[in-house]
Amino acid sequence: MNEITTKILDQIPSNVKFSEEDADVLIRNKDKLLEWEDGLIQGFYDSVFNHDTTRAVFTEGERPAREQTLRDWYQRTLNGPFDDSYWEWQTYVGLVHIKRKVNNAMVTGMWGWIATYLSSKALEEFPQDEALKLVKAVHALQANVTALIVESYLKNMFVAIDKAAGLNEALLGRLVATEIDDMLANAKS
Amino acid sequence: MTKQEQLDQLIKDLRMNVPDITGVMVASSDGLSIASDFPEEEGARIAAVGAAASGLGNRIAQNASLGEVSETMVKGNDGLLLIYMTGEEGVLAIRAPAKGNLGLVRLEASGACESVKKILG
Ligand code: HEM
Repeated sequence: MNEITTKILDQIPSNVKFSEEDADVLIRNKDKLLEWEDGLIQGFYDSVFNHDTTRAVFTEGERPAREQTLRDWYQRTLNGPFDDSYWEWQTYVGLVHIKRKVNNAMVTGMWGWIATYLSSKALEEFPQDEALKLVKAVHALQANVTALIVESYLKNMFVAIDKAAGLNEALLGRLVATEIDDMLANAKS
Repeated sequence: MTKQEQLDQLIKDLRMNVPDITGVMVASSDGLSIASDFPEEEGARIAAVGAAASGLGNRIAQNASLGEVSETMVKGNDGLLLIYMTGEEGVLAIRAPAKGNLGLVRLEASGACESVKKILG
């Protein structure tokens, strides 16, 4: 796995991280989960297009292509495998999102929607035991994928700043450290 | 002498040779103060912004095809800060009055840079 992906995933406590068990439960139920695809795509893009700031990300007529992007992502996820290239792809999404100004609030907000949608479907359509395993798998997937997209968004911003302005991440950290106490004091008052 | 003592001595020597100088700092290239006689409350910030100015100076030089950077200078009405790279890992920052003997400061700075490189290297 590439360095940035490994470093990000290493930050997540192992009992919370997406596991072999989570992968099994998604893959063994994939036929049912794929039946929910249309609802997922429709609901996701209805939310995104019904809100000014998220709608503003897209160009005129772009919705069908982006729906296809999400479909491809969903299918690739459920078909597995959850190998290095899958996780590296999620890291890459953070970079694509920088280019398209899809910020982290948008991503974490919409992941909340995806997790709620899939969890409610699971609870409606599966026996309780399996449904709870699915809910856990979806939340662990959310933990890994949002961590990768959101953190790589931030880390790649630092890389771009370093490339453009010669300020590496350690130095940026130091600059932040010189201001953080004053900022905290101001935020409290 | 330890590295730290050698750097402290180098700062003292610079201050003695050029009394105009009002502060000297050696910092890591990621902005951590290593040796300094700036007042403590200024030190951490000057180390961080000094390293940042040096990094930015390098990028400006690359983008504007200026060749290798020998000095980055910030000049204000009340004084100036000269920043030098000392190898890959360090920077030397010197504060002097705006109307001081800049030639002498630069001469001493160039010798000091070589010494810092040797000490840190
Ligand atoms: C919530 C979870 C999200 C996931 C899992 C996700 C996933 C992806 C993926 C897989 C890509 C394609 C990367 C590639 O080229 O291989 C992508 C691109 C993109 N996403 Fe997201 N995304 C999410 C949220 C969002 C949101 C909330 C928005 C907008 C408000 C958004 C807008 C975009 C745009 C505009 C692109 C660029 C497409 C292009 O220019 O090719 N995404 N995303």
